[in-house]
Amino acid sequence: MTYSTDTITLVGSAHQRAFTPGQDAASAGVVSGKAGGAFAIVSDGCSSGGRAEIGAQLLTAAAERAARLKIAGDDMVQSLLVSVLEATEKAACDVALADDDLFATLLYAIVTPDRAFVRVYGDGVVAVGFRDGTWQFLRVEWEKNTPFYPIYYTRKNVDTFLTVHGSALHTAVYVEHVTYDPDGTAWRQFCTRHTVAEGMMGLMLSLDAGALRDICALGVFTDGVASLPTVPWDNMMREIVAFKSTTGAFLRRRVGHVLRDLSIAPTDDLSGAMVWLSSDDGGGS
Amino acid sequence: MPKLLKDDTVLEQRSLDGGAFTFRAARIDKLGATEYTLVTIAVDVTGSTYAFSDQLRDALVNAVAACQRSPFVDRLLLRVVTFSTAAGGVQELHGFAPLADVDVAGYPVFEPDGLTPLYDAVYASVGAMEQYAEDLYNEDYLSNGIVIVITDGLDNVSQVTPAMIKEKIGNIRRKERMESLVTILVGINAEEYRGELEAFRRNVGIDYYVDAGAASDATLARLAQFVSQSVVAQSQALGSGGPSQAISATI
Repeated sequence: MTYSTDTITLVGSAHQRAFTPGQDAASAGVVSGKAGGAFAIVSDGCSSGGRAEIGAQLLTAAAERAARLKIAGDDMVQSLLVSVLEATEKAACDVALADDDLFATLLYAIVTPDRAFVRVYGDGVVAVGFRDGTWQFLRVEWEKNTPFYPIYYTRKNVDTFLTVHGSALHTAVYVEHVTYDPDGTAWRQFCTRHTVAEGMMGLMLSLDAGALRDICALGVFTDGVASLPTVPWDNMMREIVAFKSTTGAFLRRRVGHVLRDLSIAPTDDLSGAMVWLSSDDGGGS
Repeated sequence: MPKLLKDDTVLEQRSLDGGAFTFRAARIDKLGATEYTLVTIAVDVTGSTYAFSDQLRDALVNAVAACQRSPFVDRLLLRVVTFSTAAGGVQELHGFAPLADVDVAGYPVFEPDGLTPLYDAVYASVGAMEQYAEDLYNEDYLSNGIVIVITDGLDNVSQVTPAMIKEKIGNIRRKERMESLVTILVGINAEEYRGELEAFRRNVGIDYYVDAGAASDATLARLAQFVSQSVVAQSQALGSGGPSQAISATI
């Protein structure tokens, strides 16, 4: 298995007009090790938080470090969260960051030859590409536009968060699933509902070696990809993943091309990270 | 043959108009950036440039070396051609190659001789750029371009016609595969042909005609500066949606 990875982080026009920093972060890379692997990570800082651009970058850097260690050590515990929060807290304490500086979502995908998993803490979009050209997109949304931020665990904000949503058992998380045929037809659309507790655990997609054989790509995106005023989120995702090639800066090239073609300047920040998998027999999509 | 490019720079052979012209270009799957400024410099090496051909080469070398110091060097792809019947028409020193990979010290000494296939040079320069830009577009790359043709006289031997050049330049503008294209015809030691060259520019749709004046060390130094500044200005404009507004129509 060989991997290529790329990321994009685009500062929304709202931030550009206000001369404020973008609050998304992204990282992706290939790791050598026993079997090797690759990761893709994005984080979206809370726009009504403090210096959430720092929080998003910190969470992403911490997740990257944890992913590299897990993959290199072939230690595929399916959550990086404990490592991520420990590292984030350590760095945040050193520079006295406030709680709301750290309010940011976290989405990541980890791939090794034997297995892959995706975790979503907060909101955003997951893309799964199949070798036959099929794509599945999952959009995670929270009620009241109040997603869970993983730093709530260490900053003792969980009770306050639960108060906003009523209780841990309240259904507040909605995952919209859209599958596109290789010919571009959207053929299957449904929504699953999840409790606040499930959302706080990090919604997960897990693929074993058998399932992974059919997969050519895994990607995670912040909700900026679903915030474009004139293009439905799944159409936007379908356009983004219509890669002409998967070498070099393939995701940046493609997103740039799509935005130019559609003459769109996103108001919200937009970040994405993607792992492209090619089997050693040359298989890809 | 002196080495003009780094050892690991691989260019692919491509053909234009069914093989009437050929060019080479970097393999697209080996490119690392998301957007590129394509640059073509075409230099007249006909017999009439004999008296100043060394300075002309120096001007080319200095211009390219100055571009290599640009902060945008990583997103510039440079092609250099010479034209003269004695050298077989339009000849490529090197195809579209990452500018950082070009070794200007390897540019050969010019051996001026022969007649002037100016139309062929303009057509082949613009046509190769059009085709490569289309391929880049189809792979999601953004590009813009600049073509600079340096001559000391009028066409007297080309296969192509001004109408074909006009159509080619018009195609690029209509198809919008490039964000913008700037074309410049530079006359050096060409004062007596100024009217005809200016008319040719207008006729085919070249953006600027620039009269560099009589060939001398000073004018050729200014020519080098003009070429590098124009290239850098166009590379700075990439992503802005239009051509550079900073290109001077004088040297």
